[in-house]
Amino acid sequence: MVNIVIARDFSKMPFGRYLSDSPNSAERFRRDYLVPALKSGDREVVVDFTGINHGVGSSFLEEAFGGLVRKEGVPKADIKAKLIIKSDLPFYKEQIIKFIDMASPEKQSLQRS
Amino acid sequence: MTTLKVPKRLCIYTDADRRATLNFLSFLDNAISSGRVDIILDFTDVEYAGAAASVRLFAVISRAYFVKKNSNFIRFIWPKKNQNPAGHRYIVATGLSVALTANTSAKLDQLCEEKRFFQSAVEPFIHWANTLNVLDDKALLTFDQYLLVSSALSEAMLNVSHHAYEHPSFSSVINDMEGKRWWQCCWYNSEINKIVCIIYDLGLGIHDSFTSASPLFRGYDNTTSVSTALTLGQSRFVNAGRGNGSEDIKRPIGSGCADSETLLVFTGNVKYSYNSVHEVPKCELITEYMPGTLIEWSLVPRRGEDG
Repeated sequence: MVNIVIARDFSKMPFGRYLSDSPNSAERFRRDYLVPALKSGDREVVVDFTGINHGVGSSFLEEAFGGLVRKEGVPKADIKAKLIIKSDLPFYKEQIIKFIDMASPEKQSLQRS
Repeated sequence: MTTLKVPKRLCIYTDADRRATLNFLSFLDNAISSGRVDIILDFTDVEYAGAAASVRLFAVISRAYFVKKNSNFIRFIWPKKNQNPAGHRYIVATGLSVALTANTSAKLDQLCEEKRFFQSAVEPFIHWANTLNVLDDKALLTFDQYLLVSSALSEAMLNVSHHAYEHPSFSSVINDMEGKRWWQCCWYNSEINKIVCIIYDLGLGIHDSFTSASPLFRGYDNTTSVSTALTLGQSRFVNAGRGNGSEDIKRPIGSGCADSETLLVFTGNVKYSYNSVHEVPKCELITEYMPGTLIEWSLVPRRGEDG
């Protein structure tokens, strides 16, 4: 099992969609943490929101998790089979699942995968 | 110099006040832009200034300082405390007068450093953190409220950065304003026991931004585009990497709670309101035009802790 505690491993202030939005962007979180974890084998990947003392916006959640499908070409089934969300706020998990379901691979990510 | 008297009630919340206020602000904006005359803005008779109208005024003057690159085009006469205590309170005591004279980006930065109600910025992440510090300092929100408000503010600021000025016609003014600028106001109004947070940009407005984002939305009228943009689950937008900030923006409004909390959006010719009591959003066409997009959250502090 891979355990990613966002506040400990990444930032206590995740913010924004793109690298240009902040040093703690979803794009960086996805590339540096989620993709390596999901591609490291069949292990479960626990993403833990505990300890983040600010609200995490939809744009961060969509780009980080929906972006796995849209931009990284990770199959939805793989993500859903491995990903475990830990959060006191239930709507983070609900949103993440929705964003993964709604996402479709972009052309570039299809070519990459 | 031409003297312009500010209306006694500077307010866009009620139908009765909105027309005179927005017409005055458009007239002022045009008079400044035309550059034909220098202006004295006379607040002597102002009896009431609502937060949203004050932010719109702040934006008009502030943008003009950047575009005109000088501050000689306008002077102000403030209401005197002994002659007009109410006007003094709304214009001077709130810090609006200081904001209206902030004619450089350094002075605007100073508004933020001094944690004043009226501020302006172009960097969402830095300013989001600063605004949260102000809210946190005042300790007015419960932790859950704070989480929801911080998400809402982050999405509103990012919307300005990502979408509000996405048209070639804004490239010059973005350059002048040193970025995709917004103006804001966060304050606690003890008279009505409400926290008011406003984010306002002078960009495209929701209708133009939304209908230009996808061919599927072309042909939508003003109210349909705004209500659709502020409705959950715009899946085609989500897959284009945008479109769910509206959920965050609405979430601080406590659905079903006893106290009335409101989300109010003015954009173009549309007024959108969402209330914690009535729950169903109301989206209506207004005759007056509001450039850009103004989002206002009106929240009850420490909801539920006193009961």
